[in-house]
Parts: sequence; C-alpha cells; structure tokens
Amino acid sequence: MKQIILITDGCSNVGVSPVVAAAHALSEGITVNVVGVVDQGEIGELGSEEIREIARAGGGLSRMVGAANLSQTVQMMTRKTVSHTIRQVVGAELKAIMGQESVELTDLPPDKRARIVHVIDEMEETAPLEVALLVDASASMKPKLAAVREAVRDLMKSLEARSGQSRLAVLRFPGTGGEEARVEQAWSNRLAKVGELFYNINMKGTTPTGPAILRTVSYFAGEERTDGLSAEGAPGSSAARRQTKDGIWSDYVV
Amino acid sequence: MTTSYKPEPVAGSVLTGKWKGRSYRVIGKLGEGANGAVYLVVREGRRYALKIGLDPADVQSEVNALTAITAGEGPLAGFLIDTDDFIWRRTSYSFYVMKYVEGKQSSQFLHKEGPEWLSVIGLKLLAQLTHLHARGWVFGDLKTENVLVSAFGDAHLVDFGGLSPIGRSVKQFTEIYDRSYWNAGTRTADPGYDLFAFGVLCLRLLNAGEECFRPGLLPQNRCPELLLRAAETAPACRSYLPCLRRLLTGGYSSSREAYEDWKAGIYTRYTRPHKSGSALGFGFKTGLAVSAVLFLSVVYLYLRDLL
Repeated sequence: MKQIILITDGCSNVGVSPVVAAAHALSEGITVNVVGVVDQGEIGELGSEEIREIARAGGGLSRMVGAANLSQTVQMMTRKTVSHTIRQVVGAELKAIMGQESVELTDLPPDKRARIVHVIDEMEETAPLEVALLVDASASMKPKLAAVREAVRDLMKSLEARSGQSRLAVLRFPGTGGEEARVEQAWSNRLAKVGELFYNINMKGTTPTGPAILRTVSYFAGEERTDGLSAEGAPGSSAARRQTKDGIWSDYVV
Repeated sequence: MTTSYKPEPVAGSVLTGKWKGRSYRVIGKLGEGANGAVYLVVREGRRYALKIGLDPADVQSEVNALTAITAGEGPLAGFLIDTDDFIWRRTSYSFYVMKYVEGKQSSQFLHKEGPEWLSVIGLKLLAQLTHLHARGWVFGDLKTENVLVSAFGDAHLVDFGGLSPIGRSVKQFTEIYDRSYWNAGTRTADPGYDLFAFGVLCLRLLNAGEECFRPGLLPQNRCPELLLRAAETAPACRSYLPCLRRLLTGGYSSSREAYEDWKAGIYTRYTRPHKSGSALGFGFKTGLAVSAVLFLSVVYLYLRDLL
C-alpha cells in the first residue's frame, strides 16, 4: 500500500496542476491525502478548494486543521487510508466470489461477516505500507514546521508498532536550490534526528505542489537519490511554466 | 469514504435487528464517539446499552474483540448480548447490544465522593486489565471517560474500540495517556501499555500534574520523569507514589503483579500512618537488636562464671 500525505497551507502557484498530478498518482496505485494547516492567516477559498480537489483526484481524504491537531490528523488519515484500501480489495474479491454487482458487509450473515472482518483486520495490520509525507516548505509554513516535525515523529512511532513492513519518507517542496522537491528523509523504518528536518527554508520559495507530487510518485518508483529532485521531464511542466507567465497560477502567491 | 448522514434514533423509536428480529426501544443517547453512538434501550423490560456504528467493518471488528474477551468464564461473561443490523432510510447499520452499566464517569465520581475511592476503583480496574491481558488483549484507550463507576466504587471499563491483540499495534489511543507520546515506550499492544495509561489515569483522577497535560508541551520535554515529579509534588498522590513510579516506568512485569502491589499498598496505606509507621518499625527493630545483644552478653557472662 502506498500513500502520499501532502501537508500544505495554501495554493500551488507553479507548474502542473496538483489535481492532475494527484490523479496521476492514483493511477499508479498511490493514494493522495491532503492536510491543510490553518493556524496563522486564512487559507482562502481557493486554497481550500484546491486541497479538497487534490484529495478527491488522489482517492484520499482532506482535512483542514490547526497545527496543534496535525499529528492526530496525519495518524488518522494513514490508518483510514489503509483500512479503505484493504476493504476495497476485499470487497472486490467478495464481488468476484459471490458474482454480484455490489456486496456490502451488511449483506452477509453475522458469522460470515465476523470471519471476513477478522481477515481484514489481519491484513490492515500486516500488509506492507509505504507513506511519503510531502511537506510544503514555503515561507508561510515556517511557523508550523515544529508541528510538522512532531507529526513525522508521531507517525513513525505508529508505523514502528505495525506488524507489517512499514517505511516512511519525508520530502519537501520546493528544495533548497530551487528544485521542485527534495528528499529530507529517505525511505526508512526508523527515524533519524527529526530536528534536522526542514532546516533551511527558502524564503523566496514558490509552491510547486503539482510537480512535487509527480516527483514523489517517481520516488516511489525507485529513485533513491537523496539529493534534490528536479521536475524536468515531468509531464506538463513546461506547459505549466508558460501558464505562470500567462498569470493563470501566479495570482496566488503564498 | 465517509457517511454523509447518520441514523439519529429519537427516544421512543424501535430498532429491529434484520437477522435475528429482536426489537429494542430507545430511551435516550448515552454518548457519542468518533465511529458511532451508544443508546440506552429497553427490551422485555430490561435495560441495555446499544452501540450503532457508522462503519459495519468497524462494528464487526469491535464485536470480534468483545467476543474473544467475554467468551466463557470471567468478569465479562455475558457482557455482549446481541449483534445485528437495522435498516434506516434504506441503508443497513450495524449495532451491538451490551449490558448497561449505570454509573458516573470516573472523574465525576471521585470529585463527588472523594479521592480515597481511588484505591478501590484502581483495584477493580487492575483486576479487569489482568483478565484482558490473560486473554491476550490490551484495552488500549484507557482514560477517565472510559471508566464508569457505580455505587461503592464498582468500576467498569466501557468503550472497547481500542481493544488490540497483544503484539499488534494499539488500535485507538488518547494522546496524554499514550506511552509513546510520553517517550516511555512503543505503541505496541502489551500489558505495560495499559499499565502506563492506568498510571496517567490515576494522576488525572487525583488532579495531579495538570500542567503536564496542556497541549503545547514540547515533545522533547515529554518523559515519564515529568509525570513522576508532578506526582511527587501533589499531596494526593503521596500514598500511591511507589505504585505510580512502577506503573509509569514499566516497573511491573505483568498486570497481575501491579494488581498485587496495589492491593498490598491499600493495607499499608490505611492500617498505619505513613510517618509514625516507619518510626515504629525502626524503634521495634532497634529494640529487638538491643535485647538480643543484652541476651547474648548475659549468656556470655553466665558461661564465663561457670568456667
């Protein structure tokens, strides 16, 4: 099971639409969840609409929360997405076995249901899980990064407790040198020093959410480099840059 | 993934199970959680607690766990009464029926009846945890809200959404009771996880360490020592300190051991005063030693005279 959890506080303003990128991720079997962090200032109607749309396109959940609730939200999303993924798989199997268009658990008599849910619980606990946290590190996120570090740490603790193989990566966007995304913490099942995450925030940074999602998708596919990732060659990126010049995205500088 | 509306049965409405056909008349709502609501219901003149869940898989998962811990002999035998679905606006919702526990939420009980009731309540809870652990399960989400206390300190665990098999990850927890939140261990279900949460529960019930439980405590400052220091400075905690220390630092190898220690604590706590008790012990031992020395010297002198 593969998940991206995007943590942001505003609109993307560079590159391919993040909604398109999220749909692409889902087609690669990666669920995209989005958390909008809304402590200082407003996230705006457009920002919240984009957050909902990214999650919808990525088959995941979206939530708007204050920094204090970030850890719990990330935790809950991960768990719910795991459940959802497993239940979809089991549901599809049931349909195939029973030869019906749709099978709800409540269509099954209690004793059969008990056995199926036992299998579901087992799979939720033991299936391999990969979670990539993709963190908006633009200037406005700076006051919230302590909460993000804490959420990373907290999620890692929950993943460590799972029986199944679990690993976590942390990516930020934009990178320090202007790249669209950068790996802060490579795939790991154990966390190194959280304090070192997001050390260098680029004050003039743009918010290339779409390209960053695409880079994360290719990181899942096995780009193990831990240096900066650039989005050259990512579908739609050159067209998107032209859009910036035309002012379609550039209105929403965070 | 989410349900846009949820069933809200009002007082007087009747829920009928679609598999077994048993009917329950709703009296009122007892409480609501993240994944469902619990109602007080009546069937054939007897009162029960009925939980309606939003997700049938979540309900079934809880029912599976409850079945495992209530089967056969034990303090929870007969706790789970019925499980079924009812249809509301053409959608099936799962529910299960439990024994109705009439009582106050633990913190309210202690506030009203006095902190000395903690010794009884604590012992009852440790007994229930010992039973769960022996069955291979961990309660998980132990907190003041999930403990109901009836007359004379009869404490019961309620809300079994956190039940997790030992060795697996804890299914549901609350931050300030979470061992991992306090950097005191993993989030893996083992008896020590519940015992840690029980330690925090004691602090909460004795109103100790309020400042530790405020949001915004820096992660690097969260440690069991902080909780222990809070316990040491709270007079209400004094007689529980030896137990609290072991609860919060993983000092018990089993819940049975914690139970025995808690029980032993009750008698030392109430049968002799804290300070004069130890002074008496000291005086008694000294007296014993002095009389032994005197006796030996008498024997020595007597023998010397004989020779």
